[in-house]
Amino acid sequence: MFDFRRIKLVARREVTTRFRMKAYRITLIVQVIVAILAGLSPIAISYFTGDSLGGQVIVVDETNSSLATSLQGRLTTDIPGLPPLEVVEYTEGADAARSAVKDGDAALAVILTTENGAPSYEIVTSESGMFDITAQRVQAAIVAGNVEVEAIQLGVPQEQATGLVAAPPIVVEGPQGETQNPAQNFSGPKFAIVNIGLVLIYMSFIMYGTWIAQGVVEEKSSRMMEIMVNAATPRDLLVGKILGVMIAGLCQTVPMLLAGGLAFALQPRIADALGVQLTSTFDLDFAAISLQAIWVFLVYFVLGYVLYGSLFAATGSLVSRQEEVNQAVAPIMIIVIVGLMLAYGVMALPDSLFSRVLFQIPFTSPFVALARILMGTPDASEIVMSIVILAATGLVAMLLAGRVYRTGVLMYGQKPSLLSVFRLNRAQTVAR
Amino acid sequence: MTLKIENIVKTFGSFTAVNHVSFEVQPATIFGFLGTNGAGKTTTMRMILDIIRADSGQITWNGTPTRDLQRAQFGYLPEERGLYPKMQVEDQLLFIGQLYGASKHDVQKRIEEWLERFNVTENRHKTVDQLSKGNQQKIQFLAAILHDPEILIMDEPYSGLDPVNAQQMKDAFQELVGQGKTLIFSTHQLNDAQELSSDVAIIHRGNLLISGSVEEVRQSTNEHYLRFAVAGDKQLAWLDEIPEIHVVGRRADFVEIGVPNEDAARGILKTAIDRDLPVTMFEIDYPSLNDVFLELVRQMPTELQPTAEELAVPASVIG
Repeated sequence: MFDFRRIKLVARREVTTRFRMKAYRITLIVQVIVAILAGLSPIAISYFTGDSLGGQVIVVDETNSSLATSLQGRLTTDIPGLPPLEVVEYTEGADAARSAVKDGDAALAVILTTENGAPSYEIVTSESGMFDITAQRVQAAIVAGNVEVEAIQLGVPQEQATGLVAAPPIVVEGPQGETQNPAQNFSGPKFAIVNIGLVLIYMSFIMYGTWIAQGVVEEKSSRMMEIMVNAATPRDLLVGKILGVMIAGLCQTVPMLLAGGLAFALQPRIADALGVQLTSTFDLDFAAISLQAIWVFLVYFVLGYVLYGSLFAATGSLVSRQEEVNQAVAPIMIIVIVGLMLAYGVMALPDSLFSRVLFQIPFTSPFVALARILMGTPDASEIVMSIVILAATGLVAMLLAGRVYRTGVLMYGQKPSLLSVFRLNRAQTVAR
Repeated sequence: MTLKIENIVKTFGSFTAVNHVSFEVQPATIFGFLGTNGAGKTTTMRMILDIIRADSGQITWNGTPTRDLQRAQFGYLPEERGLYPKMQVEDQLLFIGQLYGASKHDVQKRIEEWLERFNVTENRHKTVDQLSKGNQQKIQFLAAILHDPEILIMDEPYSGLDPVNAQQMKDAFQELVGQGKTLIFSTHQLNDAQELSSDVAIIHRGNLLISGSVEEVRQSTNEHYLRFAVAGDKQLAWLDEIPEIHVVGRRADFVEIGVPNEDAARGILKTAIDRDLPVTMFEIDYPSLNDVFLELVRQMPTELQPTAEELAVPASVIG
């Protein structure tokens, strides 16, 4: 069915041609640099935000309640991903506290007064904007503390008052009867991995797909195609081109991933060397990425790429000039973008019917597979079916693309239309 | 070992590109496939190569349909250049030769020989778009032959070549024929074919007008051409009065006259001598292929007469 010698020749030409292109090499360098910077970004973020996440909270209590003690109890316990706060009772008055925050001596001040007999809280912060995490933490602590204070004033013993605002244990049971910890399920490495994989798949399909379409148009406009279809079958040419572009593309993507991953892995040491205290937000345990994540990514990347690569190649063969490529591939681009969007839906509800259906549709399964498999709980049979459907569709797309390609490449100056290609195809009884 | 084209028809929608065309190409010969622009030459060649297929009729090589032959048996030089503009000459030739199925070693060896022979060795590491048009055409020719095909099909091989390069190419054709290869080339410059090929076929608007050896075709009109000149009189108005002959054209330094036989030509010479005119040229010949073509289409109904567009020289040839 396939002539592997010819496929290898065509693929090798694609790869070497790309390697010799200046744009390719520059892109590779830029990608590696960006990946390293992204990998090291936690150090930069820690450096710039480290102070505002932690620091001292001063409490001015003009009502002599137990606010300071209450806040102390709540803010000094560790919250995963956030540094502990130091809570200090301030006795020099509200104005002095405001100045202390303004001068940067304290991260935040809480001033408690009474207004018409009811407690009134004022938070003075040095940060501005809606992402003032410390202020949000303090607010939450005050709300809880307020309940406690009021309860005590109503005569509830201290111990019972504290119990009133403590979070009760919550257990979530998944569809397979397994116990889930929602917080753990929706945070950390899995979420990051699914996101990175998704963006890579999306970018690769669009970028390499466009390369394929442009390559086909180049061969068509330079009339190279007339020689090529005489020397080899369109199917071999197509497979060789798709494979070659994939290898050339991976030669850009893999170094980028390795460089970014290495930078990320080395960041604690680099942070130590630079004297930056890494905030624990970024201390993700990437060793927890299972082999599962890697095979899911690879299988769906390759199969999805074959499907979309075939579509891009067939579309490229329908137009004659580079200027027409973008317009011609727009419908495929839209499918890719929709696939990306739907994947975010699957991340939110990985086990919903919506996710299970998208996981079986070959045009969306490459995008949603990571979310569905890593975040959800699919059966083995569901995964096998999804892969088989995608692989079969990819093969059919490749064979069909070969036929469109053969007819399309010899249609010069005609309006690109699938209908006319199939009509010509039938009329010409194109074989091989 | 004959390439037989039998009664092939090819239509594109309502347009008939090739209409019941048949001819034969003998092995180890050069066959000229002639016609105006848009006559159906390229379509026929693509059908021989099985790039597109005929609606009816068949094409066989030594009895086997060409669609069943190994691709490597054919070499193809398309009318417009078919090379990667940004790929180096040597890489490109290696790629195409191997794509046809030849071994890298053989292709490499032939590349050395032919680059040397065409005086383009210094261009081997240049990209194709850095070459002159003539050199590009030579590389295109090499791309068609480096896998050592039995049948070489060339669509307008002379386009873009200056006389020196054209001669190199013609010598190469002769050498390939000497090695037993069968060459088919198309041209709308009919006199190119007269010089080079042993057999020709002329088609017009998809219909075969005539085919056979160059001699047969040139003699087919049963006419002789006389090239005749007299010192001091370029017009020779008296020729118009002689019955049975007709003036085909008055050129810069001679008048071309269609005569029914050699006796009629001698009659003109005698008349000139009787009038005591100083004859400087008297040359009896058969009509050229171009004349035969023009004569054949002249006999056709007006709607089948070639248009100026069909007779125009395409830009690729001027370049």
